[in-house]
Amino acid sequence: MTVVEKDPSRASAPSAPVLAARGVSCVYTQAGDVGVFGRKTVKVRAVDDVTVEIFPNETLAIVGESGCGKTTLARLLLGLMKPAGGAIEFRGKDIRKLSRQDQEKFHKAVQVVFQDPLSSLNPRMQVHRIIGDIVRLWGGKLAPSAFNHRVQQILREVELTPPRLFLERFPHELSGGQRQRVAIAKAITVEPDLIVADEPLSALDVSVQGQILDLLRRLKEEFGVGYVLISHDLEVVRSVADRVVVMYLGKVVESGTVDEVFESPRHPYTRSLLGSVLRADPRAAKQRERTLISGEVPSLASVPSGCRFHPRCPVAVDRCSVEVPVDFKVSGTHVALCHRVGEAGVVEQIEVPVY
Amino acid sequence: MSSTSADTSTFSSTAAEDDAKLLEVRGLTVHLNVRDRVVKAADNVNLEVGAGECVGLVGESGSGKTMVARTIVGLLPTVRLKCCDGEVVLDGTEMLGLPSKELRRARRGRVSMIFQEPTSYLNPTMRIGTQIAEALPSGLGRMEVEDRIKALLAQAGLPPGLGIERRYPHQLSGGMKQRAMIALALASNPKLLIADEPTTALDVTVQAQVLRTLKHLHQERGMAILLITHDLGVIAEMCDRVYVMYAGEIVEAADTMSLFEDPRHPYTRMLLNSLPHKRHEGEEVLKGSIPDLSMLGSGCRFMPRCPHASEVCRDEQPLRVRTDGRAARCVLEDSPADRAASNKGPQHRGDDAPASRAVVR
Repeated sequence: MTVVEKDPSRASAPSAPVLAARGVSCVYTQAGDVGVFGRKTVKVRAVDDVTVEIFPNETLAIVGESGCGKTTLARLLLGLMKPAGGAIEFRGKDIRKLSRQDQEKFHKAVQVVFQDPLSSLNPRMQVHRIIGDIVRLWGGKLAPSAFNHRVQQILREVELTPPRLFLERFPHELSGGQRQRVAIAKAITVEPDLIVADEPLSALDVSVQGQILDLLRRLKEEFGVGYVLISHDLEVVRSVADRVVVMYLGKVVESGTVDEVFESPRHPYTRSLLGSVLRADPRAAKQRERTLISGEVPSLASVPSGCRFHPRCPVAVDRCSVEVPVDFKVSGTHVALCHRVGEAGVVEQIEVPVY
Repeated sequence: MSSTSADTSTFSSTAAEDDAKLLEVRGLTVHLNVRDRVVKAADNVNLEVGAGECVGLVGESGSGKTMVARTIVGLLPTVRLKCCDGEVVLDGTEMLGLPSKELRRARRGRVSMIFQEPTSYLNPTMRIGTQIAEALPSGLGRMEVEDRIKALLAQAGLPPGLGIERRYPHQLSGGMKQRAMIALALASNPKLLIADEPTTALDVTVQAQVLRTLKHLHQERGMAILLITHDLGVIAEMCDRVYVMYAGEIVEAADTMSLFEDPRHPYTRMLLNSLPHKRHEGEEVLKGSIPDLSMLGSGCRFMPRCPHASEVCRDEQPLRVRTDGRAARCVLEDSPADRAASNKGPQHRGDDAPASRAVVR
């Protein structure tokens, strides 16, 4: 399955992908029912044959409900987990077959920001050490004054100003937004090409979200860093992403540029997801009676046959429960995994808000 | 309802309007002891919910909205409580300072509350059905209890075929747990449901489903809802009226449409500007964060973050009520016409009385 087609229309982005997942799968072993000989185990495919490419200085958003494999895909991309099938490629090379030097380059080029900075920052380290350790690790030997200067410069970069106020603080002495800034500072210390951000905003208040979004945007412009942004907040994705990948139960069901996915979504799941978003616009809320999809994401242990979305799909037909759909190319960059995309006036039955 | 006459003496509103008031919070002040400091979680909060109305209380985390909700139902952390002042009149009964037994009686049939994290409020060792049965009035036959449980679950959007009543909380998904909690809240047939961030922990799709259920209950049972949330999208979808809370104070009160289209307080305006889809238009963006509630000075609490702050803001700011019933706690509201209007009331009560009037509509 290829999500991003390598066809001539890609010529607008001539560079090679920084990082790519090629048909990766990930299998978890889950405890199942108790049988005669103890507890049986079930194998669940959290990510199933997924291909995505991330180009330099691009924001790729991965969206979907919880339990759709977004975080697992992120962990695979970071090399934190071994894929059960397929490969993760860093600048065209499989990350499992990298030389020692290339491995170092990979870890330097691809950084991560987690959702909850309180659990990803060491609670026993002050900010100067959290950042300083990384500076020392990657920056080599620096004179004390140059070292301090560098640490302060990084804190200024993430707008923790004046830095001296923050250097001596422990993570618990910072507010949520400040902690997330420290986590971002950690990531940018090594001047990466790509930051994988797993729900970086969901623990924050709206006003702080706005500030962090601005920061991420500024870093993208100033340092040419790209992002893999995992988020369930479609409004955020809409405002920052260049391309969007929609996941459902471990599969990529739709992908395309942000305009394609938000303005003319083709997959019933994407349309339902967009239809569920509550926009802060009371006039629109009063005008529209939403069509909601029923139910929740089923367990990965019992993946529905055929198209995985068919039990919740408002436009499913008999064929959907039997045949596994294949990618339908809507345009050069826009792909949807659905039997009924090609039929006229079918998916349009699911109303979506106008963006 | 016995206090209706008392109300009419305090407010110059008609008796019909008084009847419509289900919940009245007047001058509510809650201070807590945290370590050796005093946290002013809520200061002089006035709010009202009419019968069958859906009212939103919106604010960032740390703005004191949950404390207000907890005070209404009498769930304050008594160990830490320094002072709790003001009036909470729910359906004619003063709720503050009631001993626990009477408080329980006062809540029954009047108010129920649902929370953000249903897992921590459902009993993990009891089946859902048993928990609901406990909340039902006593003296019902077994069959009747079972029927009532099924009916309640169905109203909360859990159809009888699922056999939810036989399950334990851990066997349910997040959305189902929240629905089970709604069923539990409905068991006493309350006139007011206080929902504290009911959908924050849920996926967008499930959030929309649960909110739709709440909306149906609101419309069909005529149940009033006080919806506490930080999510302006939820407010836009659900509420008739909104109170905006900042650092323990109500800074703005308005009907939903006016609030979104013409926010009066700089905080509200900037909060709306922080929304991702408004970013490109927004010139004023919120910087910094909510002040430490244990180190508040006098004067406007938003002053340090406000782009329009001036010397006047160092003085305490009353909630200014306009003739159209909107209210904002900001000097900018003092356009000459409005000032004349707000001067009609007695000066020293500028803070309390007009605020209550503001929400009478």
